Amino acid sequence: MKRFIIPLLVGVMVAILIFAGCAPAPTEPTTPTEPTTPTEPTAPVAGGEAALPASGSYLENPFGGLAIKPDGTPYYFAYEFIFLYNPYMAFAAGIWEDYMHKAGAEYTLHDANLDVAAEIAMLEDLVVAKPDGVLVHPVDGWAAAPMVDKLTEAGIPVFNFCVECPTDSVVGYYEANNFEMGQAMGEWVANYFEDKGVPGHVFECQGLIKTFIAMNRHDGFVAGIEGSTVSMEPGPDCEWADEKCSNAVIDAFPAHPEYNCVYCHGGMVNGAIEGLRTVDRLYPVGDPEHVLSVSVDANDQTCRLIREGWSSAVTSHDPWPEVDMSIKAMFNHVILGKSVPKKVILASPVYFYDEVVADWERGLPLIWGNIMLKEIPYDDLPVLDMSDYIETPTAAMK
Amino acid sequence: MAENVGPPSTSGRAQKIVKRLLGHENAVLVIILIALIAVLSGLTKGKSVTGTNVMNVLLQASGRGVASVGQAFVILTGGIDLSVGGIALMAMILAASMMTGTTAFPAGPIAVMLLVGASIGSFTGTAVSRIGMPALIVTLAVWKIMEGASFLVCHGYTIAELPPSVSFIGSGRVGGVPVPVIIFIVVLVVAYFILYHTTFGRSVYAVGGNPVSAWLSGVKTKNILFGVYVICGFMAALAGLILLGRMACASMAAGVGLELDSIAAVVIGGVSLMGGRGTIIGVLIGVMIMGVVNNGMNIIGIHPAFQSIVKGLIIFAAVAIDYLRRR
Repeated sequence: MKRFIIPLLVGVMVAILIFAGCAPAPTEPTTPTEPTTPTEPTAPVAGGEAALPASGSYLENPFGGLAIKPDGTPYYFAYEFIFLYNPYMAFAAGIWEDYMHKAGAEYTLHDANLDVAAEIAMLEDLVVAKPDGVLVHPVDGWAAAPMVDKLTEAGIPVFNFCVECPTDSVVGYYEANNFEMGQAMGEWVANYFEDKGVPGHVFECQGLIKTFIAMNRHDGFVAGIEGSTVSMEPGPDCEWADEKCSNAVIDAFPAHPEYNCVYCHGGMVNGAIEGLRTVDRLYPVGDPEHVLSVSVDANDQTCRLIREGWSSAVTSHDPWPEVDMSIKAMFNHVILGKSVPKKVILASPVYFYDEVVADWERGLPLIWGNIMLKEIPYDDLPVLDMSDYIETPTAAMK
Repeated sequence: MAENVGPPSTSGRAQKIVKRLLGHENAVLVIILIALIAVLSGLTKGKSVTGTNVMNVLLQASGRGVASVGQAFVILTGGIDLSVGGIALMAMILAASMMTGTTAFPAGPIAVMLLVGASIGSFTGTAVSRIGMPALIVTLAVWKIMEGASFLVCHGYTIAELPPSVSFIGSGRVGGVPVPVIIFIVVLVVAYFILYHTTFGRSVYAVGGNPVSAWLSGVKTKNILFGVYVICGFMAALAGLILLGRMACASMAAGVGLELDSIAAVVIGGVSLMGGRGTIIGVLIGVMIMGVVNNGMNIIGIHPAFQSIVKGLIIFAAVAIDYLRRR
């Protein structure tokens, strides 16, 4: 036995070295390319099969050559975030990598894995790594704030999105408000039941409750249904997991036949739908017996379920515009020395069948779950035109 | 030909010293640590060995280190404590809720949080030592209880606006040395004294090595088992205090993974999961190895997925080595 285990261990160690050697970060700077002008709008693409239109809202790579210093070395930026193994974060990381490639920048990714202690350690390590700028999407903004101050004191500008770090050190903060998302969903549900003329009884699949995002979404929903005929019963912490959400619905609905709506804090509506199917309460949108299933976070599964007519509606922040704005602010501030908006709250509309399908057919990828469904490679995505909020930096501005 | 019977040559003496050093498990760990530091120094172009970074590593290691010392006591008896993160979380949330809005040094809340840690440890210890329940399940249950109880106190929201003196515990310095590092050193010294210079410490090893023999030799095994869980609970709360000071707030996302980190550090430090074998110096080295590897990978910018793989493989290797040594 011993004879086999030692070679196995040696093999494992060799594998570590190979993996470490293959690790993509810090990346080699890409060859700088000449900046290009935005393309002219073209006709929308019908059907939208893995194709993106240049509808005027998107720019071909405006960043070419932007992140290269006069001495030919690349700028180096770091991105620290909550948790990689989640569609929203994975999408945000994909956009980050794509934009960094487009600009020719060197970059690193830092995953806190839902751990505040790991998060502050990573930010502390970045003081030593000395990137030219840091983008933070913290597990807990309050907890990360002292380290953001430390980075700023070390001369490293910090940008922030999605979860706010309550410190003046942050150069720019861009988000869609979680309370407002919950509130928008609550109001939509209240209007739905008012139109239908029946009282709404909502079962809530909470989570991840250890992040205060969930509590903001809960409080927002409560505010949204206030004064209406809708009542809500808080359910368990489903931890963003479909399976736990499904189990919660399977447990709750047979015991409470009056429930006619499920509200999921995160993109786990797939679990709610499966739960409803299990307890024979799944009816398509438009059926008189339809149990509303609404959620926050329009990931690919949610968009699919809305397209198929099972899930009713979703409200969402979108990692693409949020990361887009953050990176543009970073480039403007660090490379071009320009001032940037201190705080921008982006809209978070309620999407239902008409919007999700229309977006799909027009090829407009503003709902990130649609892009994931189309499996468009990040490298093929253009840069958003967010000029209502922030100027798009180009190498010509240097 | 006449046999050489004179004093050993210099090279022979050196060989003996090297052999003796390599025979000592902590020396091997030290060599691994030094090699890691050297390799990472090269890969980070010297950034990892600057004074600032060394201080960062020590700061980051302190909270985990304190929890690992507590975990080591439990593992030395052949047990395991998965409630460390939950206890740290509960202690933090409870203390922070008592401190918020005040300005005075929060001696009372700190005393309460440490007492709460020890009390929860005594609950676990009672279940394991008196009732004979499996430690794995009991501590898993306690972890979940603590998580839920913490939520009831803070309702998922971060508790901030703590007195400035709390930040001093996490980031203040005494004589240039960060306070968490001082706390960690004191904990190590006390743990070293307890394990090697008290009857209780020797009994911990005896219970871990062979509980039946220890009992037959007159060791009060139930009291020893009870004691190690109380120590572990206390240390978890102390680790929570360091974390509270570092963040200047208490968050539901704090303490996540502390149990696994502490177990990993203890095992990497050469403490046997079967109990009865290991040293406090080994735990210190294990904590430092984890700290140095995490820090180095962050500075180099290794992709998070590869970081996870590397950490997993290190733990796998440590457990495999322990298993092989046992055979």
